[in-house]
Amino acid sequence: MATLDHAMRGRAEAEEPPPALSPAVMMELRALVAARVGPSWMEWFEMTPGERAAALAATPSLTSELRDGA
Amino acid sequence: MHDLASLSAVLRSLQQADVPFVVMGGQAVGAYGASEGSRDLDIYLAAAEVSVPRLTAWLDQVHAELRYLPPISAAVLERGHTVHYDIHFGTTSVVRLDVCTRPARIADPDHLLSRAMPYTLADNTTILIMGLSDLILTKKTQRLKDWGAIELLLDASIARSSAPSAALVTVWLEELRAPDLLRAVIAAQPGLAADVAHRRPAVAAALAGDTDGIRAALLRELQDGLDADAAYQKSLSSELEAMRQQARRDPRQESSLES
Repeated sequence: MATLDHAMRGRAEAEEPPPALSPAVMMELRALVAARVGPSWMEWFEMTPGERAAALAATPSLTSELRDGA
Repeated sequence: MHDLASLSAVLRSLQQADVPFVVMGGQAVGAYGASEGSRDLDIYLAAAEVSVPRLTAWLDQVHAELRYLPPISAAVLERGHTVHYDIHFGTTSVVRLDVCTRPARIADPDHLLSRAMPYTLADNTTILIMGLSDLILTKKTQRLKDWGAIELLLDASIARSSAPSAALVTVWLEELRAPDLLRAVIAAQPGLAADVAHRRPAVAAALAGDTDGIRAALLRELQDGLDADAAYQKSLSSELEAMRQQARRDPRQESSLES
């Protein structure tokens, strides 16, 4: 019986993959979530138009790349 | 604000009419634990050819009122439009029902049902809520409020997950918009992050330790999303305007709007 239990448990573990993040990491993520004070896009509105334009220029648009490449 | 529990009579009635639907929009965001304060009930309607006649009969049965053009039809829905009705329930409550069959930015809406999440209401009615990835896609609109809802959804997903699967962590890597959260997930799962980096520059920048690059890539994503939705809505608006002009020429459609 004990062998059967062990086999069944082993099969269940094999079928259910382990979590992708550890409890410690999840605790860290939850602390970061709790510390957040607003949506991240707020910071874009704290930039001057020039700073925002420079940041956008540093990263080409994926959509325009796709469009240009089509 | 209506919540799903107070709407359960409407949802149960829809189910009894054999209308296959998935709840999306603000009510779905709420079901994930991220309150958005929505007053509308947005649904995705599956199998339009079969379900539109059923939904049309149900709308008649509950004396729903058409709010805006266009009135419901499979052809209009399949072109990507949303139809809007007011549903009266209880003694004084009214909820706006918004229905679509081609949610914006979802490439394979026919598989949307299989990705939906079962959700049981207080009265034991089990409904389907749009899957997390699909719901996030529908929120990439021109409205910054919706981008805020994406972050609330992801915050709630993290807060409620004790042992996330690789699939869920991949969704986080694909969609997280807060740089500190994104960096923390990448540090814990560099293998999954390397896969996502091929299609998300913000993740590639984080793997390279490029802090300014992460912020610039996230800003670019936001700007591209705003621009893409503006272009998408512009094409639908042109069609809507043509429908309105047609309705002005056709007194039968105009009277249906006035009723």
